[in-house]
Amino acid sequence: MSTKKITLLSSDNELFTVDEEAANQSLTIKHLIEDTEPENGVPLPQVHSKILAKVTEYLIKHANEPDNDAAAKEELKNWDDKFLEKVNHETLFDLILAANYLDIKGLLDLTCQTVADLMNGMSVVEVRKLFNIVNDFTPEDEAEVRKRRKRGTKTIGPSNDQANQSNH
Amino acid sequence: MEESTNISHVSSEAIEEEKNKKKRRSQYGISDLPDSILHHIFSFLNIQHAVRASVLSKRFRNLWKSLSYLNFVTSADDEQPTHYEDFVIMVNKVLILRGKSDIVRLRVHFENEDIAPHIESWISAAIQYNVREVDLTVHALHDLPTSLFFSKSLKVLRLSLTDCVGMFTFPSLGPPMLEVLILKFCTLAWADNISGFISACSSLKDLVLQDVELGSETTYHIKNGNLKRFVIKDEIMFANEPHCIFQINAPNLTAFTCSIEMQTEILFAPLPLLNFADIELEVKTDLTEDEKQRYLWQITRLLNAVRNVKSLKLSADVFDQVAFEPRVVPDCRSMQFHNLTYLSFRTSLSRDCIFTIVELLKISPKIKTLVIHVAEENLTSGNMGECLELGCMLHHLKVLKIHGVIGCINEIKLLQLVLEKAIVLEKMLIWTAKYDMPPHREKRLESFRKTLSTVPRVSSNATISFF
Repeated sequence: MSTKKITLLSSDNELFTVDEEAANQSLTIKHLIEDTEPENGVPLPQVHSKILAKVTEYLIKHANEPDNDAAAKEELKNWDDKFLEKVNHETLFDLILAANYLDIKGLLDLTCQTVADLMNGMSVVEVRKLFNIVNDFTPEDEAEVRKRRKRGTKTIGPSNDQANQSNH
Repeated sequence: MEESTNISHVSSEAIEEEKNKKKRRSQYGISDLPDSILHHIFSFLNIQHAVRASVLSKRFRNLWKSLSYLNFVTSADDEQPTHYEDFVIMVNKVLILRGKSDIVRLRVHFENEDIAPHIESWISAAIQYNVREVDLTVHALHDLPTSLFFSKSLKVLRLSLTDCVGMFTFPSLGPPMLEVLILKFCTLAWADNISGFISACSSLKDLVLQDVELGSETTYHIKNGNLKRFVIKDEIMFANEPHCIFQINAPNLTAFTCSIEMQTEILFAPLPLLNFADIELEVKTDLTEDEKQRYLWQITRLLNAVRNVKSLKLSADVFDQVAFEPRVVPDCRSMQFHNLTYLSFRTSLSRDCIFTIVELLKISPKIKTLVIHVAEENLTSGNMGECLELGCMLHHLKVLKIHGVIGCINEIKLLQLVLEKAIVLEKMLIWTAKYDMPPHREKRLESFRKTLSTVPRVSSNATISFF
């Protein structure tokens, strides 16, 4: 049984070849193939080769996902953890955008969950630092927001918020 | 692959463009992600992260108001316990002050009986925003939030109701769109009409019962024509009866998973579409003769009910004590797994277990892959004598995997049988046991390998690998 190969073309004109079954996990690619039957590869002008390399790595690993095999699922989960272990934030956000654009549910969940895990248990100051978020509030704005928030609710659940301490 | 990259000449413009791109890329951050993605990220976090994030920057100020996944979650592991008043204020504020967008999922996990009276109003609010998933973990509920059962948008309902004290009755009408119902860690000893409710959920596809205490009925009749997957596991307890029966009539079922004690009996009406079954049944050791007989009949009937499966995982302690023998059970005499291609069996290798494997193989003519997990309490005693002379055809068997091998005689006999019968066998993969074995481990395994290599093989392609 031979599987059909699909060629993907990155924004910087690099070609990636994967099995159709792997490619079809991306609903965007699937629809592009069905609608346009491209001959010289599926053009993905929004995805750089550096990111597409990661994405195809994910697609290949996750083709033929085991339905009912607990051991195989466990192995795949470990692979997922490793897959994003050494990825920097910039690449992580690029991967999120690519997963979103290509409509790959599993990869979008995985990358978003990774960002969520990074944020979990962090103070506002720490989150700003981690993701380079510029505080664009005027001091008056900020005082107002804080006041509202404080009046509004105390926090629930795990909380190590040091936001009220210092701010640059 | 055809022609690869095509950068024959690079103009200075292109270089400039590339530089600009790089610049832009380096400034790209979380704040530039579209709302839908930020929502997705916050769907994995507790609501207060989103509320707290409102002070990060203007980008985040009002983001929480449009969140569609609302997680109000506390757990016993939290550093500081949450006071119920704070929790109630938090939920109320968010539900009142958020925008008008639909709620996809409402998750409330707080095991504090004082919040029980507020649940109904929170659910009602969520239903007004067309909530699709409700996930409740609450303690000591007095009454079911009835509005839940009349929702026209609800697709997924996950209930974990511990120590329910109320005597409530499930309605005889289910939410019309409900596709997934999960009852996990539920004390429903006083609840009435659970099976009637499940049967009435006309769109239900997935049903999970895990760690549920039931009690009001002795036989649970579930009749549901759309049900595709049924999972029943861990302690299913019955307040009043030591023995309880589920009668399942679900002709469209494709997957069935159970992990229970044999005191719970599951009877099925025919399952023509069943594809996959994972059956794990526990019994105490030293069964009486009566119990052996009863449980043997019970599991034989269960296996007969799932006989259409393509893939079967089986782990049944009862076969350590009594061998599978469908011929002795009325209605099951001619049972066959005529579609079965994958069989995974967790077992000790007692004499009865080997008999069971041989019996299973005999009635599974199409089997391609056989996986055996040898249980740690591997019983090396009991020689199988001549039992393996029984004609057992393995015309399609390509792969045999066996885990936890210690090098005992019964293992050799079993593998010998396979090598002598499986004409298209390609691979035999053997994992030796990791735990401490009786003395002379290495010596025994060495002689095991040697013996195995001298066994004649009918398949010329068969390879044997050890791990």
